[in-house]
Amino acid sequence: MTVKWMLPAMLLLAPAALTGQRNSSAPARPAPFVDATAAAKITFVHQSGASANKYMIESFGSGVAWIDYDNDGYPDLFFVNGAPGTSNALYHNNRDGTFTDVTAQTGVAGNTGASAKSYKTGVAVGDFDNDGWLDLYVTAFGPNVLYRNTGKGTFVDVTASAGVAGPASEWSTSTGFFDFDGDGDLDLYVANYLNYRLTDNPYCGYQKPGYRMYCSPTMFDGTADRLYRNNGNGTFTDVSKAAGIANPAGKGLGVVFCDVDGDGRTDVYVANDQVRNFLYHNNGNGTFRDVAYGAGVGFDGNGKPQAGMGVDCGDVDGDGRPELFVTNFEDELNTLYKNNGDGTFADVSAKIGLQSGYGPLGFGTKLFDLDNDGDLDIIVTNGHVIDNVQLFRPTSRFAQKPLLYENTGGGRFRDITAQSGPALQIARVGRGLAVADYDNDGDLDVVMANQGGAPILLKNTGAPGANWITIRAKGRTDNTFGLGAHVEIQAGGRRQMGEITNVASYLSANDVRAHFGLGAAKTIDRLTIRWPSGKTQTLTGVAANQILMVEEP
Amino acid sequence: MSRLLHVITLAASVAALTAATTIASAQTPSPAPSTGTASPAPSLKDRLDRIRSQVYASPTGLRDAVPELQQILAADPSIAEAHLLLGAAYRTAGTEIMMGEAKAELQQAIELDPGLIAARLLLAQTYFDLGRYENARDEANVALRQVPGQAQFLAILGEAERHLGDPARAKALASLALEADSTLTQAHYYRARAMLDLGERDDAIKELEGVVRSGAEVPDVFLYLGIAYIDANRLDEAVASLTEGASIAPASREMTIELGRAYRLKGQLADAEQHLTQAKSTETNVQVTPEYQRVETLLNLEWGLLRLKQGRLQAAATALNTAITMNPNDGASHRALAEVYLRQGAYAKARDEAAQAKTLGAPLAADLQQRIDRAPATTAPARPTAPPTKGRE
Repeated sequence: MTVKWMLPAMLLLAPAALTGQRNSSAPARPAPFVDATAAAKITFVHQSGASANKYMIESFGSGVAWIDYDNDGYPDLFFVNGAPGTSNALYHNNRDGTFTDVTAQTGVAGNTGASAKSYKTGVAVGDFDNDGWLDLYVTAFGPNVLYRNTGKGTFVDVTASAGVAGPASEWSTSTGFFDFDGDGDLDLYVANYLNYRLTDNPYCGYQKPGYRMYCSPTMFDGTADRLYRNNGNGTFTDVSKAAGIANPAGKGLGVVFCDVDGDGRTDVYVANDQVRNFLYHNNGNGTFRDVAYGAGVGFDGNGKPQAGMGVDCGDVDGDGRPELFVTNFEDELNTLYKNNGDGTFADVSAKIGLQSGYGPLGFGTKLFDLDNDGDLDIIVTNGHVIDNVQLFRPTSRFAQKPLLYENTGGGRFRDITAQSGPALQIARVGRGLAVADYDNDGDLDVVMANQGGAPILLKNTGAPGANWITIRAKGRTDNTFGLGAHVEIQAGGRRQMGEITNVASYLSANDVRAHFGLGAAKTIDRLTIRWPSGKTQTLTGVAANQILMVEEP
Repeated sequence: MSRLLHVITLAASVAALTAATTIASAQTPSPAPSTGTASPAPSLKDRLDRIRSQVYASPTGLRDAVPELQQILAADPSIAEAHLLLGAAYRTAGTEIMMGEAKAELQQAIELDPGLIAARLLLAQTYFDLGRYENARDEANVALRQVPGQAQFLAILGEAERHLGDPARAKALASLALEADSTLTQAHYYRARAMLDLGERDDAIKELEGVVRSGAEVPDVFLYLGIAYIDANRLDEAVASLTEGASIAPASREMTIELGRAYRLKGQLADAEQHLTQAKSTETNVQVTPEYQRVETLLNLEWGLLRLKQGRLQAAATALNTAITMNPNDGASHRALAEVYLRQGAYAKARDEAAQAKTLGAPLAADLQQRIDRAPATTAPARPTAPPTKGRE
């Protein structure tokens, strides 16, 4: 067993006053988030390409990713830009709360060559070649692009040799790396949206100036997602059909990887827009089986398909089994599917305090421990897809406030947006969202990518008295960042489970490190990692408030 | 929701489904490995057989089968026919989102078994309902490669061509379909629609009357027969046909609007007003689709014409301008608005609207055009008591 204690200096940044784990009856604490965008010197502005033609892709927005591309232990920040010809942006984390735009020197602008005419959408982060450096994959309405990290502060476009561009006509969305076949290298899942062409663009809305609107996706066909198997030599093979994930009816927007049944294999859940969601159970033999009907996660509790956007997976009620969470359209609740532990789920959205999500139109999301109290809270970005929606529905707005829910225990939530600081009171056209402790101060920060506007970096100001641990998994026979590893923590008399994964939300990628709040516990009694290879590793007596690198035995 | 949604009633779908399933099983071996239909476990096969037969039992048979079909697919998502039946069931819900879900199930059925002709048939019809005529044409063409000369797909191909602007080819294809199967009421209906587009109204009426006599309870048959009767000034027959259609499809806004039109032309203005009021949209969905625009244009045009007939010129102008907002190229609305402006003494605006109407292929009646041509250049006081003249018929 090899355990490296990483960044011990961070211990100094841990909260000094331990006041005990907060519970739902505790008095309101200070607002958790402050807008750190300007202080961080992030000047990126997303361009949607919005035009009078109202091409649907213009309303899509783009994603954002945390990627520690230089392995200095501090997550850097990558923004996908939308309109053809626009530049993505990679910001280097200067470790002092500021960032520096390094797009030009790193080669990830994505505004030339095959990408010049693309509307760029989503992003995945993973070390596909197991060289120890995180690579980037950017999806698009157009060819997708794989950037290999050279380890020298630059990236090289290896899309053609890797064979992962996908058809130039394909509209790809959320994406992620995971090792679906357990061979130790990362495969690639790409959700696809509509069979859409700019030349087939019906007129929706009233026929007078200013009243054209974006059409509904129901007018168009879906298109099958893609699964690329990593051949281990820098190339990939499209195994979508053979693997059983090529459902042509899909209108995929969000994707999350999660072992929903605890069988040690990573399953895939896809949030589709206005058709039912898919839950692909990993059969362990290179194939998947869509079990959404049986599991009860295809529709809402009323049996209706919803307009799924963002998605995440996590154990919100502390029973050791992961729930599924999906953000949806306006007039739909964001859906929380409670894992019953028998292969089925129950839509409990209306019973657990998520009612305020009914009005807004949700996109990016994350289940994360906002306040380090040991349970998963929820954040959701919102924003309508129709920029002139107010003309048709006076009560609706294009720009909408995000939502922040605190887990009050046992998987019940309360909306704390209003108490969470001025940064969350501003309406924006939210799309992508990603979470990382970018300043390594022991609490999770959030970045939101807004359509046609500037992003916002929300710095978590901390939860007094709450302890934490961040785990950086390092695979040896498994993929180098341990994606897919299952983590179980016992501390302070409670058990938490999670997975090493950065795939969730909408078009976005989170930090590859796993973060756990520990409440008042200063020590983790038992930390167990089950690696994708099947190896299990147990650590005991692990001190809290550190970033712990755990290397696969 | 498209005008053709009403054509594809449950009964029609089931009939088509059954016929095409027979075709699929009897004539067309699946070109790809058929994981679903080949040999489901006997118990599943029994259940599918029962569900299939259940559709004959009651108009809600398919809808009632949804939970069981979902259970079957939960046990084995690779059963193509279960996806097909589920798609057929979702279609009966009629809402936009469930039509999308129906499309998704039918596409899965075809993905699993490309030889499942019944799924392709329903998918093509679903494309009609969603106004995606090119996709419907594509499905029909694929199916006709699998089952050359098959009557239903010939008819569907023709109807797609009509929607895409080629009524002559539509009529020819419908006739071909009827050569293959003279009893195919769907083809008779489609041929009648093509005839209407070609201006062959009287032949179309005969064709539609034949469909009605065959016992087909398809709302759109009554709708278009009613419209044809109106155009032929056979107003009592129009009211009868549209009333029959409304009894089958009470939620059809277009049927109600046309009934209002028929009553207006009969001079029963109170009845007309009652029907137009009834036709107001209850949609809460914010999406304004081309089909929604089309029906809203019809409704506002009809309100305008009713108000014009009532001498309520300002209300008429408001309604007609709303219709034009929905569709600036609606010649009938411009024509009616020209008359409204003329009667209001707004001669310049009347001339503009008359010119637009003419450009859009809806010229004013000669006497009305002459009055506009002779009108002074400047605006005159409105003459609300002027006798009404013909607008839309």
